[in-house]
Amino acid sequence: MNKYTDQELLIMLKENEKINFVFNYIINLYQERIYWHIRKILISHEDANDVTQNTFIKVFENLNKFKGKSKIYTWIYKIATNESLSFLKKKRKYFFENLNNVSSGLLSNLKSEKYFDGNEAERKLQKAILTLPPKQRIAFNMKYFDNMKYEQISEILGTSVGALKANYHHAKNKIQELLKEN
Amino acid sequence: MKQNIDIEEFGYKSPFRVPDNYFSQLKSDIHKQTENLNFNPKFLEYFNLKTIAPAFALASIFLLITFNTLISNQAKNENVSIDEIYNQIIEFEIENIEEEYLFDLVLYEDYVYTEEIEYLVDNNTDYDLIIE
Repeated sequence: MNKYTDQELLIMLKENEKINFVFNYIINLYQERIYWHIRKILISHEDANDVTQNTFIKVFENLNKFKGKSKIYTWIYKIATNESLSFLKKKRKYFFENLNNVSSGLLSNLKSEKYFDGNEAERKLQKAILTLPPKQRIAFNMKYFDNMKYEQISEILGTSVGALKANYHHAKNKIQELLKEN
Repeated sequence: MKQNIDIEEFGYKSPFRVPDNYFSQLKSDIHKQTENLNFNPKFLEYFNLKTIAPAFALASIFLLITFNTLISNQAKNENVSIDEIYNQIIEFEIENIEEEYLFDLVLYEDYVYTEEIEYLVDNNTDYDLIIE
């Protein structure tokens, strides 16, 4: 697959007949990364599948309005994050749960998730991660599993690098404490 | 007995997996869903926070002035104090408030970190503009 820079893609987007080509290119390039990002937030494969599709539909609908003020991957990650949080919010409303307590629903997803290959220690780690508040959990996942730079996470979540570093430190300590207790 | 655990030792790998050939299926599913969709018309760009917020503020001020004028006139005509009318309006609002809002108010702690996202989602914000 040819590689295009954001600038080149932006030029193509200005020509309406190339929008489908750009969209196809974006799917090929980002679908896996976006899926995994969402999957770590929602745990369940079925939920992640739905939200990934919704994310790309949003990308498609808004592609002609993308002005290149941010990098494409930042823009798509941001949509994916918002779609995931929106999904959790809808679930919260449905079950009358506090967003902080959505973790109980996600924990039950983790227990029943058939597409989980981890060992017992990894399941415990996931359980501990699920105790974090959603936004902190997302930031932790992006740093810990995806090894993203704080600057990238900061662009996507709109949180300062300093706050992210502090958050990661606190999250890591909290998770380690929980793992010690179990 | 507590033991020292360093999460860095877990190897950073995600324990989740997907069904076989999932990503080729995903691509095809996305294409199926988008083939009958149109791009959002560009004129919708003008209906964003930057244009709606000032218009909404102006409309609110206009409504407030009209509302106050009406209440003052009513009070003059009926010899009812403005405080009584305000109380009646507040009672009416409390009786008719949606439970969902009350629930959200009770769980105010949510908004410490979700208010920005909730605001953006509730207002169907153009994602490109969030970056600005």
